[in-house]
Amino acid sequence: MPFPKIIPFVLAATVSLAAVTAEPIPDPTELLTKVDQRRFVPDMDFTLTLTAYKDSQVVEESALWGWVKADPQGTKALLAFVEPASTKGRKMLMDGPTVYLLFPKTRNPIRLSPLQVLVGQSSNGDVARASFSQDYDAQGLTSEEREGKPCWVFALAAKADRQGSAYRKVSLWVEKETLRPVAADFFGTGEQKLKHATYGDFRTVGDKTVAFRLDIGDGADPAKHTVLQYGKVGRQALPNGAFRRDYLEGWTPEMPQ
Amino acid sequence: MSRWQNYCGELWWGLWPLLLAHLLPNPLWGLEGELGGKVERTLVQVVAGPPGTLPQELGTDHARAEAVASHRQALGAGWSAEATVLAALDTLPSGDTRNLPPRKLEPSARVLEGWLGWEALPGLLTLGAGKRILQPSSAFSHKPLDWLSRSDDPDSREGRTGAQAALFGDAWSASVFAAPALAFDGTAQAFGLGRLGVHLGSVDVKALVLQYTDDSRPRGGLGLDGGWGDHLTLRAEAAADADPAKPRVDTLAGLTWTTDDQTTLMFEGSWDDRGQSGVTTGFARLAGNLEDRLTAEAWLKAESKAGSALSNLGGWVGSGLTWSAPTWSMEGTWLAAWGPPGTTAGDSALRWKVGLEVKTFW
Repeated sequence: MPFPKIIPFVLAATVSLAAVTAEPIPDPTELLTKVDQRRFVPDMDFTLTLTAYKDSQVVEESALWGWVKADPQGTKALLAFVEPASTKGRKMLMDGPTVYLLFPKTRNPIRLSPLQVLVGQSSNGDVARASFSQDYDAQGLTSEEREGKPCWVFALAAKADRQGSAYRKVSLWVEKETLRPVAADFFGTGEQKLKHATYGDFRTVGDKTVAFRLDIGDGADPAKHTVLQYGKVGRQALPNGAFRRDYLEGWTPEMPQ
Repeated sequence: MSRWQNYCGELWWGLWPLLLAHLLPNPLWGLEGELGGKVERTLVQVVAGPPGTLPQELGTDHARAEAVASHRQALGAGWSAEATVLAALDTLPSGDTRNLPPRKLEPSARVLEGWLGWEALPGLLTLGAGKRILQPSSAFSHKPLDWLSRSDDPDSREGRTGAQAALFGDAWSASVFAAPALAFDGTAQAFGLGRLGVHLGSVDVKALVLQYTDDSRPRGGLGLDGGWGDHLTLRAEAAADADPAKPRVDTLAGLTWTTDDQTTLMFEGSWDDRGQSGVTTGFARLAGNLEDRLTAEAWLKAESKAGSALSNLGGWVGSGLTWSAPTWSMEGTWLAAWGPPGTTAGDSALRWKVGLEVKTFW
């Protein structure tokens, strides 16, 4: 049974959560931490549609409901698969690098390696779960203009305990004025770009400014890209106990309002 | 009461939560179903004469159509209901190609699960009662901790009737499932199943105890699984039955390696000592995507009885291709038994099997 192709993008959605701020900070590590801290909306719930394209043709559409809980120890996400019918009813818990998947009509969530939940032929996993300051060291910070906006450009390298990650290096563009993520390029061990992500459709949710759209392109095949689009983003909290493996089998998701 | 009345009665108990679900305003996340058809061609060896007669090969065809519907519904105030029902038409319900049924098409209907749950303390305590599948094992080819599967079918999808309480802590969970002896459910003896799960870093550990109400001794088990990097998951299980009349130790260890292109390579090894003779089993499976929607798998299972020479191996080999679309899938498989007499596979009547299965989802 194929694993769901939409999973890797889920936390990528949370990557796009950005807050409005103003003061640029010259130290790259401190600045990256600040960008990251403002990326997540704590206790967020959302509906999300994912559309995969090849050229301009839609090749796959998916939908899910999600709940995210972020704390200093990391980010956890609960996902309920809504569409397509072939994956409907699946439930997933992403707890840091650990992923559990519960198939319908079964009772034992199985543990997956991060690469088992990636999209298609390439590694979108770290794009999806990119908690930059937790997974990467900021090795450089430069300044350049992108689409007419002054941006900080971070040069990131995977931390020692994340050397098994598919993406060893990341270039991250952050708008100076707002500290919103603008784009990111993901690389493997070589210089070939594996993935490219752009963030857009920023909207206000509570006291945050959230990117409602994330477009992830395939570095090897420019014709392929997947668009993540939020429908609803709210602040409905689930108890901490819900973000556990054994809780999945009894969990009844309700559509985020 | 006629057979059809029995089927209708079974279906009713499964359908009422579905009907109830449609009367409620909550979005129907959990309503799902599948309709499938499968045809298989099987070649078996049969002895159709007095002792000493040479076995003959007999080819049989097996067709099955199956509909499964399930629904999970939040009822409010922490209550939820769920049910899964199955209806099937089968030309060979026993699955035994040497035991052909009198009718050419055998209908059947089952309630696989029906459960009413209540989250008494959100995220901390859940209670429930009804019929539920119990699957503690994380293994793939052999499942030492799945003690309560129906009959000897490890893929049985029918649950057990009972009540459960589950408690969740910061990094642990505990649950007790108590099942009474129910004639209609085919449970001859009441039993209790206790489970304790602990999350330690990147490792999950679970301990289980099963006790029937007769004077047999409890059965205990321990399982763990963990991950290492982005590529590797590991698992191990052990179960022991301390009954002096039927001592048994059943162990398994396995791993799954995933490559950057999502090809998975799985290895599992197990040793099952049933008191009289032990069986050592090795399993390997390779699976991956050929295209975006086309996946392929191949696997090999080798088995050796205790005391057998290493050359005296038997087992099964198989492969399959699956095409998956958003609302349907098609899978072709073949399987063959191999090995000399004296091995389970070698003594099996089954020689080979090919099959084609089509499913639609909604």
